Amino acid sequence: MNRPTDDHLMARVQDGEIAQLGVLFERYHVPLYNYFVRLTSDRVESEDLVQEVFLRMMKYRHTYRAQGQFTCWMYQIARNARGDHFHKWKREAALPAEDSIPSGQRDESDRLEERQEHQLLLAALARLPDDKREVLLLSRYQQLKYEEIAQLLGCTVAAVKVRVHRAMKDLRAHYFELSGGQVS
Amino acid sequence: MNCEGALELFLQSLTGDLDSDTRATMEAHLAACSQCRESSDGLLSLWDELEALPQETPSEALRPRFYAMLHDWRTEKQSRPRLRERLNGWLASWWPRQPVFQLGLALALLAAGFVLGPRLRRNELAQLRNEIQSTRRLATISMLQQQSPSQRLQGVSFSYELQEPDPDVIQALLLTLDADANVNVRLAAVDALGQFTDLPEVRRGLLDSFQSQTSPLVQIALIDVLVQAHAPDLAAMLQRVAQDPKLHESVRQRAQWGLQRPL
Repeated sequence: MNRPTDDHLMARVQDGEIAQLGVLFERYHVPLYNYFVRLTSDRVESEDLVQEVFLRMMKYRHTYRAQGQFTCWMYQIARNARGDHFHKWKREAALPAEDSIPSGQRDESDRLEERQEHQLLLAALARLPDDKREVLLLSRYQQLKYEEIAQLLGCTVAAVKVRVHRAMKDLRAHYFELSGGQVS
Repeated sequence: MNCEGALELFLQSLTGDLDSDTRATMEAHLAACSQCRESSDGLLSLWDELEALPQETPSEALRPRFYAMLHDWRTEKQSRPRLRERLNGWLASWWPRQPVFQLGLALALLAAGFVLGPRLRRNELAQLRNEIQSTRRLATISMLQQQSPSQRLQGVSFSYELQEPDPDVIQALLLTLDADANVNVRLAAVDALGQFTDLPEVRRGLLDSFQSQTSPLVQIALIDVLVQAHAPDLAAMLQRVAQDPKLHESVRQRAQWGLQRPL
């Protein structure tokens, strides 16, 4: 049996089949959670935000237009939800706490090096300003298309790419600094 | 090509923005420059690592929380009529998605507001003004009937707030002038009536009231107002007053003064 598309599921939610939102939750709650965790370094707040995003999806389901852009709509809601919560957060771009090391990898001592690299990368990411970190997360980690990101951020595709280039440049500088190396 | 330029191009190649010629130039530079090669390798490895970052797993509490919320929502929905929901959907389907149409709609509504707004506002303002006028009228009449002289004085001062002379209020003021026991209230009533001396019934009322006044202060005030209003029949009255030995001397002098004024 074919997997129903996001559009199809949303259409059913709009028709009153609220339970179908559960399918979308199963599909997207982990990427959404990761989007928030990477941006905020706060697990508890990130879970609250995931819940908030799905609540808003229910509330504003009639505003969704089925054009195959569900993820774009979802991240738009996510950004708004985060913006609304922002004043509560005392976010500081610092090294991620020990707590933010992926829990599934804590006891695997044979992958210590890879873990350290990831931790270093997360620390370098955390040092980036919000807008640069977000654009990298959306394009690489969440794998949104540049067109989708442009729509999400309200700018042109070219502007998104320039932001990605600059963010990569800065990320590399922070990464090398944290690893004790020099940037050439 | 310098090293900085090559690195810029390499960044652009990551997002797939290089044509084949430029890419070839960049690659030639990288092949020749070990430092740039190292930098680009570092960037590429970060680029790949970003994609491969391990996913964090949310706590086990998140899922039950979501389904509890979903359950609450559905229970609430079932017990509530769906009218609002349908109305929301219907309205949302009318609302244009394209920002340019949204702008158009907003401008059209703004234009409609400019056309209809003043008309509505005029009607509302007129209605409001009537209501205020009516309230002031009632307040004035009601205050003039109070026991306390200070409240009656307040009632007289309320009459100044009336933008148009009201027959009932004028009647109440004339009655106050004739019958109020307090000199200050009667004096205030003279002043208040002074603003309506354009009306013949007010001038007549002021003239007639002179006979019933016992206080020289009120009598003088009446003479002043009537002289200022150029009331007809005033000359005859002033003649009588000026020669009436029962009246206070200052009143007679004031009548004399009035007679010398152009009437």
